[in-house]
Amino acid sequence: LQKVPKTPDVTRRLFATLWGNLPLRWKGLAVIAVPLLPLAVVVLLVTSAVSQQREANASVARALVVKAEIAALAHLFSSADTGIRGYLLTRTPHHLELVNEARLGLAAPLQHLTVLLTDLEQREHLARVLELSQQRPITELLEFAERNDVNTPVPDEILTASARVMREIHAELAAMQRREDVVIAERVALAQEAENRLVTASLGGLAVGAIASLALTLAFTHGVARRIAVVRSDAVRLAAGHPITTPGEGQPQDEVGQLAQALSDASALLQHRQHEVDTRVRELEDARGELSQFFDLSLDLLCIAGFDGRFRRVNRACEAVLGWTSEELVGVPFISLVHPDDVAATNAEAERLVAGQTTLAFENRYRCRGSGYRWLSWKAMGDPSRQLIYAAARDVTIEKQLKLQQSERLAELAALNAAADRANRAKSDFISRMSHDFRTPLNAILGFAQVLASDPLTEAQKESVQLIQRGGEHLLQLINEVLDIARIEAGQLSLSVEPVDVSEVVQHAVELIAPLAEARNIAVTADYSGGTGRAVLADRQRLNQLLMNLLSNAVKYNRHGGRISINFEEVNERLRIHLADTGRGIAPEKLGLLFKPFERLGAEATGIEGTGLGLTFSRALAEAMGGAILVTSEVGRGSTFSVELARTVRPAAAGRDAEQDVPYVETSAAAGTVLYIEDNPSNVRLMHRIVQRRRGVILRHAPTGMHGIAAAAEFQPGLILLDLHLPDISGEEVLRRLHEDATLRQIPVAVLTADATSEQARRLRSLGAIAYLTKPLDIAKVLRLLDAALGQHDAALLTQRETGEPT
Amino acid sequence: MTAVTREHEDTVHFLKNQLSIILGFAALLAEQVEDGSPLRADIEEIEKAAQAALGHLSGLLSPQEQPDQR
Repeated sequence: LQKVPKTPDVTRRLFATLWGNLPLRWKGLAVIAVPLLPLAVVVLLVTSAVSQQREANASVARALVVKAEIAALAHLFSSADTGIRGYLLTRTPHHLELVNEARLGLAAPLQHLTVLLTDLEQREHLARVLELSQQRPITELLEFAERNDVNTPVPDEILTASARVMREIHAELAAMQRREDVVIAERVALAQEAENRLVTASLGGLAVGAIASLALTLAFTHGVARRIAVVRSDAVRLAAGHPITTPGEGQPQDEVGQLAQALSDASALLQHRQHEVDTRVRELEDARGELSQFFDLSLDLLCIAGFDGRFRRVNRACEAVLGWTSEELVGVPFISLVHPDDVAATNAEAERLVAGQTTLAFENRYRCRGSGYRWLSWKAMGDPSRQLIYAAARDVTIEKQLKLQQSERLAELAALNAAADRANRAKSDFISRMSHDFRTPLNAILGFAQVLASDPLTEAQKESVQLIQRGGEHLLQLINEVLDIARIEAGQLSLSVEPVDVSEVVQHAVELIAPLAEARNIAVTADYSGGTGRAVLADRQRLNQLLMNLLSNAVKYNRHGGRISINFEEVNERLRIHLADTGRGIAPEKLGLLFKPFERLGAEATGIEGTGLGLTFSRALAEAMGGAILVTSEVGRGSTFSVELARTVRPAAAGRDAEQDVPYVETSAAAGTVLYIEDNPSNVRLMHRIVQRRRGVILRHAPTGMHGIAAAAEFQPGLILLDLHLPDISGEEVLRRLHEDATLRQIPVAVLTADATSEQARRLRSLGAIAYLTKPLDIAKVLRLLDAALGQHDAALLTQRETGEPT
Repeated sequence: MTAVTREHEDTVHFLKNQLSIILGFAALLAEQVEDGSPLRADIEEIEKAAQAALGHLSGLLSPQEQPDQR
């Protein structure tokens, strides 16, 4: 069977809701007010009853007064009747006095009754009494009395009539009395009834009030107390940290309900907070666990010390580095482990930490278990609020030792550097002197040899001159190579490294070597397939020089009728130019000496010319361009020299100079004055000998710069030949002054020097030099210059050719 | 100044050899021309220049001791 749910009593629920939601103060007021309601009713009833009783009593009292007045009237009427009759019988005056007194006395009660009587019937009775008292028997009787005629008897009919009237009066008065008695009886009954009702209402009201009060009080106190008990229980549970039940829907919303709800909310909040706290605690515990692990895992020494200077906690790194266990260190003053020499500084640092400052890098030595100290570098922070010092340290003992060793090494290096500097200075000095001083006499040797060679000579003389010339050229080549090697080693060689089309440069070198190879019947073959369209990073001119060195060797050391094969090979990001010859080859044990300066591996005994510096220079040059020279050789089959350079993708435009030989011609085409500013007599004499080849040319000589400027102004020469090294002012200064003088500016100036750099050449060009000739002088070039400047030739072409990179 | 390297010494040695060769052929050439020949002055210039070069070579090995040769 299915239970049918009871239909909720809507009224009861509504009342419960209203009552439950009623604030306690209103509920208390209701507990007090509800019992007062019956009491109020009782009071009303009592008041009403009392009022009725009072009214009844007042009516009774008035009735009694009326009765008294009626009785007074009756008495007065009786007295008057008696007096008159007595007088009439006795004729004694005092009876008349009674009658008069009675007549006088009637006015008051009558007036009184007129006021008191409200009942119509009673008023009619009173009016009847008054009317009867005014009737004839009475008035006639009174007239007999007033006449005081003792002799005349009063007729009986008057007496009888008056007696009848008097009876009627008394009857009326008696009726009035009775009426009042009835009134009194009614009022007394009413008073009694009101009294009874008063008693009943009082008792009933009290009973109802008391019962209602008790019931409400019990209901109120029972409900509130029960709920307060629940709230108290919840509060106790809450205080104990236990969760409490949440009030359901429809719970009373009075103060207790609100308190219960507040407690519930507080409980929920506390639970939420507790959850948060639990979460934070877990996180903190996790973090603490992690920190603890890191604390122990740290490779650095970590420790916590109190402001009393004693270790509180140390990590395992402290144990590992210092050798002491954690138990041995905790509680020990850290200063007791510090090296005696570091104690003062450590104490000073500790005072800073106690003051709340931070140590970023402080080093001291700590004693280890057994013996010895370790250098520790500290970073620490003092926390005055906790009275703790947090410190981290790193074992820098090895670094300290390394620094010590490093400082010793640095001292050694400084000594080595000083020696190297001295060597470099010596090398620089060597370069300078070779360049400055040695080319000048070489200029004279080669110059005069060329002059001699142009003179008519015997065969023996010609051979000697040729040998002198060849020796001079050999010497010049050697000096140039030595200087280049020295410049490379000193980092002073100016290189213009750029993408260079490798096959084009090789082809150019092959073309240049072809006559020499042909003269020795040596075939030169080149496979350009591996190099076509490929570029390397190199200085075009120097790469050509390097290839010419190697090809020259390949020709010189080849067998007659031999072969030179050239091909290319890509190796990673580099390109190799292989130059293979069919010479005698080089023994493996001699390959190591191949690049040694002046080491010719016995070739000097074969009559093959060479300085022994070519390969040394070539390798230095290749390395200066970021490349290398490799060599493989097989005795009896030949050698292969490979130039290896870095590949690149953007070949530069070909900058190949168009060689155009200007023939050496002995002619008188040039004419004019040439001023030679030069201090060296041999050079001056050589120039005289050269100029003698141009009969129309007059050579003027100035030994100093100042003389030169003056001579230029005096002779206005067609060409000035200017040496850079002069005893008074430099040739560069002479050039500047000539350029600044408007009268001299137009005179072409050619610079002759034994040494110069490309930078210097550019600077001289900017000062107006039209040509730049290096010593030793090539006589043919000098003559071409004279012809160009003083003859019909265009000097511009000469200028372009002669102002290249000085060698 | 003692930092003159072995290479410098080799260089100087080689240059001296070459200058000796030049001086030798210059001397031979001088013997081949007659006294009063205009060629003799040129030959003497060559010899003088070669001797000057030899002097400079000596200076290269002890550079501080050499005067300015300009």
